Amino acid sequence: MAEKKTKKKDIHFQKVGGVKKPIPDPFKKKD
Amino acid sequence: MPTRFKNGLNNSAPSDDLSELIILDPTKVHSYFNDFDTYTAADWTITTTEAGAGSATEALTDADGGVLLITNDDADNDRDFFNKVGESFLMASGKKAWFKARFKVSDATQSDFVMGLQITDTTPLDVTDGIFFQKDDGDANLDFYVEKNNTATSATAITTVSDDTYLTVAFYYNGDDKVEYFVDNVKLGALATTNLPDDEELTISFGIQNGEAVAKTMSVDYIFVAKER
Repeated sequence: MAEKKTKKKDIHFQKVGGVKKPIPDPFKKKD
Repeated sequence: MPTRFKNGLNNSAPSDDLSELIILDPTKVHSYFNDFDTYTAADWTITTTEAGAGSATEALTDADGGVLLITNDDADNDRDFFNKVGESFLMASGKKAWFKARFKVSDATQSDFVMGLQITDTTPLDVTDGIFFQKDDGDANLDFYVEKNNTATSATAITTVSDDTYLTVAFYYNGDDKVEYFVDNVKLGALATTNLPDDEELTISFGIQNGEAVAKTMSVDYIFVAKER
């Protein structure tokens, strides 16, 4: 039986006018 | 006792179109003031990361003065950053500009935050253009940047931020050769305008990033921006 693949959780979003859409990781942390 | 100008008060030249106006001419500056008695989601582009168990939230909270409460999700480096829709402040020689904001953060050390004017950007902690205050994770030092095309003039550790304690930050561009910066109504210094971002419009930009796997908050009381027309 084939292993069931689960979609990786989206964690980066952009909300425009309250509408939430996934986006690629935009951040490059400045430490 | 107030001084009473019963016939009005005017700052126009006698030949100006508003010379007979009985209040000060509001068109002398382009201004924005948000006391956060109200909050309209459509006014903002919000970039958020929610690697924790929940979601970031942004909402008005019950507090005197009107306060927008931003609460991150609870993983390390989760964040919530705001850009006002519509970049509408272009720094220009000969035009003075002012910025002032009052806010607090729940954790002054285990957080990154920005407050000021920036281009619309999904990486406000690593923005290329703006005039803004920033605090980095791991210390409580507030830094101030005047940055253009990824080159910045900066003043570091201008003050120390405290946990859950409101502070006001402000800057004033004199339209010529310097940008003065203030904290809690005290002028702390001035930066040269070598890297003044004067080739693209800026917008109001602020937000917070967790410095550890605990949900951090930012509370924004008000933001004021003005620029001479």
